[in-house]
Amino acid sequence: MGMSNFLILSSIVFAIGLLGIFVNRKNMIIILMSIELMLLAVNINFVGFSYVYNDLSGQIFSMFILVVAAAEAAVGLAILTIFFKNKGTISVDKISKMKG
Amino acid sequence: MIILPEIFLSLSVLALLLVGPFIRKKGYVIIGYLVLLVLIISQFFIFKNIFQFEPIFNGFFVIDSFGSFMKCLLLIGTTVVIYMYLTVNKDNSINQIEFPILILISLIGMMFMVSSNDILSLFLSIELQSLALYVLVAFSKEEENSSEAGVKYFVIGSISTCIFLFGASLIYGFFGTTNFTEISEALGQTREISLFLIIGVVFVLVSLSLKVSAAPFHMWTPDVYQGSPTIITAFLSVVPKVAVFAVIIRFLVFPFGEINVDWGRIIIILSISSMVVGSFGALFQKDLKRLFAYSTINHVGFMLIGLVPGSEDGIIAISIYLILYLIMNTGVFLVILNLRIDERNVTSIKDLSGYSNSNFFMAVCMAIFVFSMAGIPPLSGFLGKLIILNVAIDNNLFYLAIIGVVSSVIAAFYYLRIVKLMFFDKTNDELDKDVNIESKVLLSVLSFLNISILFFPEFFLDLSASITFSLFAVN
Repeated sequence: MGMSNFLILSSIVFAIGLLGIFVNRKNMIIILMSIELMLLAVNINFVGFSYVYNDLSGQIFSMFILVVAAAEAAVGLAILTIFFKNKGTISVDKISKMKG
Repeated sequence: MIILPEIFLSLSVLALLLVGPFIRKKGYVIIGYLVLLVLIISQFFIFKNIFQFEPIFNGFFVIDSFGSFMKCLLLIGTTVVIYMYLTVNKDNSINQIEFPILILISLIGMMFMVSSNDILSLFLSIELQSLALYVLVAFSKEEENSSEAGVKYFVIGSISTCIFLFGASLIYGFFGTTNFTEISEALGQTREISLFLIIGVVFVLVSLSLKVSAAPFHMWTPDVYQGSPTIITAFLSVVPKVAVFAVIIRFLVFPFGEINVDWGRIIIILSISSMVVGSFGALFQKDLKRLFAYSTINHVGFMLIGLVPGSEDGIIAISIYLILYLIMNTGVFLVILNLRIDERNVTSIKDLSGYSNSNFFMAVCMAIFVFSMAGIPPLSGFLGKLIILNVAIDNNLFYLAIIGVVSSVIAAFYYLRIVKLMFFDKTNDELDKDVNIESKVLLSVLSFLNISILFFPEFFLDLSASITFSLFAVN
């Protein structure tokens, strides 16, 4: 398996995640899901390179990314709950009180 | 025990979290003073071995004088912020025991960040720092603005993390290692620099400039600064900036110093756009915190000029500018914290009108800080701008120097508008007149530093020269 195959795969997944953040106007949860998708795309990269170089540190890195992704999702959901309590909605369009 | 300060801080966070819930009344005050004590003790630990150099944890971290110096700045900034929290703050929504502890956790993240020598440790410490900061920004649970700022900061911060990791994976793919020392050795042997590596470095750089709010990645800054509690705005605008700047310097100068030409162009673009956005964006702002968010962007652009040549004198200039920036910005936010109407914080620029009649001392201090930010000669901000422009001219970057001067002239307009409002406009009688003695003491110290630093610049030049030396001695 060559390097380019998984690089193309991970770039596509990363781009889908990034697009998901910008295109979506409805729901904040979708943004959290997209962020998770981008982190997983990075994991594909790390595991693939680790396979190519026969070097373990890439796989260890991806473990750490999984842990941090879980922590980040927890903090993000907590902040989202506070936001929902104040506004009564988690629509992306409504996050626009401060601007200018 | 060369990482004693970090270990001590981490253990005291655990201890404080255990003790905190058992304190019945006014827990946040006791915890706050304990945090202050912890910070001062770890400052001593760092002073003890400031000039040592040692890689630790198998090259995961490196303790050197550059990192130790930046840690000193971080600790001083945090100490001032906690002091402000304990003495000046009247905002009841943030008076909980978690607040000072979360600041401490984010400080630990930043201290690890400054001394990390591996992409993995850099990533983990950046996450530790930003996860604590997301919570701090959204800390006023009843305020709509605060939670909105929290959501915005969280989304932008997470995207920045993803971009950082993607770049890191490309760098790992090019070298097969994540250690900075090994990367630097491998880069010395490679003849051809492929596009692959450049893209990786650019991705990491984009993520770091999102964290340091350099334009065109600045869009979150005004909103987050406006929404978060003022103490956190003061913290955000000073301490993480110092840490991320230290990381950018270490990341670019140490492992990737060889490809200076490639990242230098990106830094030039970042710097020019930050200076332009920072000076024009603030012209029509109505909120003080928003205005100083743009002023921060302007200062960041200025500091980035020093990074373009990637040489020692540029790094010296940046370190001096960071010290001065810390002094100016904490002063400004201390004044903003003292603006109250009926015991409630206000941040609109209009509220400052005629401030000199109601409180002359504070108005003079604010004028000193604002003039210093504009770079008026007898004040310390001038020294920073002078040294940075000197570096730009020494390295034949004349256009950067010209844009810098023009942008600071434009920025002087909105700084002077504040002074005009304070001294020549109708008095705003609603503003609370009482200012407690603690904030007066801190303000006098900061203004004194602002006035006096320009008279002995050799001390700061020598200090920065001796600390940045370690960064280049390794190569």
